[in-house]
Amino acid sequence: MKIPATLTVNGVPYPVELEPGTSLLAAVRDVVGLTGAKEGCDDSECGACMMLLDGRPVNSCSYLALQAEGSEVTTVEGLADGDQLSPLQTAFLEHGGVQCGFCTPGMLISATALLADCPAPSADEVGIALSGNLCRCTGYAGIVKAVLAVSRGTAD
Amino acid sequence: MSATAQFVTATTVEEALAAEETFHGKGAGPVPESPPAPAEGCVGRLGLESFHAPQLIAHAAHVRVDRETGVVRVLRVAAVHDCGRILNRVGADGQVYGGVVMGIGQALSEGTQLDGLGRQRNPHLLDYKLVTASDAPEIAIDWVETDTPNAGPKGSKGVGEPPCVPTAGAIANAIAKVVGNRVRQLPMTPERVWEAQQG
Amino acid sequence: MSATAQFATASTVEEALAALAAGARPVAGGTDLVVGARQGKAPLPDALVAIHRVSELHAIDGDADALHLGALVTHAEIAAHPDVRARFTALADASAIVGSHATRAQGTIGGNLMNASPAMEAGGPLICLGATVTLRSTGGTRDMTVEELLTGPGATVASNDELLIAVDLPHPAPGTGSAYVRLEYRRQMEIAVVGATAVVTLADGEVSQARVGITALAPTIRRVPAAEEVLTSAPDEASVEAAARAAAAASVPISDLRASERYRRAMAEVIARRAIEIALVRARGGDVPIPASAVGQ
Repeated sequence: MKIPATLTVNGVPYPVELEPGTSLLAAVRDVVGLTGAKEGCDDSECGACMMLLDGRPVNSCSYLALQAEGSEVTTVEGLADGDQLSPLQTAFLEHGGVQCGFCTPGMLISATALLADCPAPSADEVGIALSGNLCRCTGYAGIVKAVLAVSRGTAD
Repeated sequence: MSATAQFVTATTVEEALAAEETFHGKGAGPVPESPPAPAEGCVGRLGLESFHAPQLIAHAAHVRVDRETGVVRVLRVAAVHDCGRILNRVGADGQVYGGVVMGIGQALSEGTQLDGLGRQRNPHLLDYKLVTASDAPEIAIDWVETDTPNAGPKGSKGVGEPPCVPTAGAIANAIAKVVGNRVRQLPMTPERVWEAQQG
Repeated sequence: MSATAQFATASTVEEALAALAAGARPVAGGTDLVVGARQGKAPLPDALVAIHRVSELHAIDGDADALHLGALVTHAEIAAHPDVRARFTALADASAIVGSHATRAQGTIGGNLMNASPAMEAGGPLICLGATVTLRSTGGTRDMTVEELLTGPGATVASNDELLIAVDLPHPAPGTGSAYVRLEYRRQMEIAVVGATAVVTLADGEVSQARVGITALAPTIRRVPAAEEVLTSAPDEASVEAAARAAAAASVPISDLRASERYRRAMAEVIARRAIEIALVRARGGDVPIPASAVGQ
């Protein structure tokens, strides 16, 4: 039985009708149509689905979409300003933080949450914060460099 | 394609066994002469000339072993590769960072565990443990760009596979140095390192 | 995926309790309930009441006697709270290492307790710090210790219509130091292979009170009175080691895909000793950064 609700994603309200068991990931990808967040493990172990819920990181595969009504959901699509990439996105590209790109939306969201909470993290703090986002390609080196560059204001 | 089409580039195993000569694949240039293959029953050999331009790799690992628990932390890895001419430094470095971290996972925490019926006991990422960002060490990279005959276009050689090859060996050697005994099974989990210490 | 037929969101405790009385099950952060459903462990309940909007359950406050944590307080909030870090350090040690930063941002102390895992990080600290919980239903309210709440793996004394409302932690006596240490293969995204908690109070250099707990070493997280008795004397190396041995002796570890029984038993002693040592350092006013698990590993 579908329940009507409004999901506010990247500042835009979307009227939806969802089965109660629908995850926030499924709702955003399949109903709202924003496919930046990825399904990796579907059980909160890889972070590919990470979004922000009122600015705080959430593994959207394991969060019921209906519970997000009344909150601000931020996805990777909400980081850029039109065609202007965010400093983190630019830094990821410049520092080798992207290879296959599958972890990238989750990593950007996770890093955004970190820098909002802790604007000048140490490399270790960056590593701790990003530990919920698995990456097989990059060994995390380029990603951590990118986040540190942004936090130190040395990225564009 | 009709059901009766002939696949002229295919050969059957029977035909290959009966062939006088071994056959070679072909890469970007003329195929060099291969030494004779003594292996009996060998059906054929695929000789790509890039196989005659191997990569040379050396990894060094600095590890810390918690002697009481067997937990190993990799503090730093140095990785030097000869992969011929590097065409894209960011891309090539990226392969090494990723490969080394995969090698650390192979060395210390990644392992498919099977039960008696061949089913995976650890099908979840909680228990098939990839290295995360908080356990990835500093990795120092350098390239030795030699001019290797039979290398690929512009003198480049393969970069994707080599970086995850020697890391586990370097870590195993480092652990053996600390513990005084070798762990001979991957992954070298804390329990296995601890067992090796018990003698 | 799920046959959940009913879903409602409660704005007040009363609305939540009425829904529970009608047969709904509560969901807050979903970091156990929804994850478990995704993994196929247990389907989502037929009727759910989301309680994450019940603002009165989100308070961290307290008075001169105790720190009061509403059930919806998250692990991230607990680990960052200055009062928790200063006075209930073992709880900060634990909350700081639950899952990943996303788990900590959404996972609540109430959900963590009601999930009742024998490996939950916060259980040992809550028990050893003397925490009590408040359960409420439409029929009334009752308080109990965390030890009384947790009865077995995944099991509590709560009936289906009861909601965990709050956790209260009595302020420890001056001179108290505490620590929670887990054996971890990775620094994050981990579950305790074994864990140990120690809360010690020093008066004139002597241990006036000790609490020692073991985690992931028995069907429930539990205190080890034998270890506590050994420590209630001069806290020298020999007594610390004896307490650690007592903690290991009280363990009933299992062999599973993460570790063998033999290794777990040996590690129980090592980890218990470390927790006690760090608690003593902190009781003497020394600084050991949170999380204590990072020390030495």
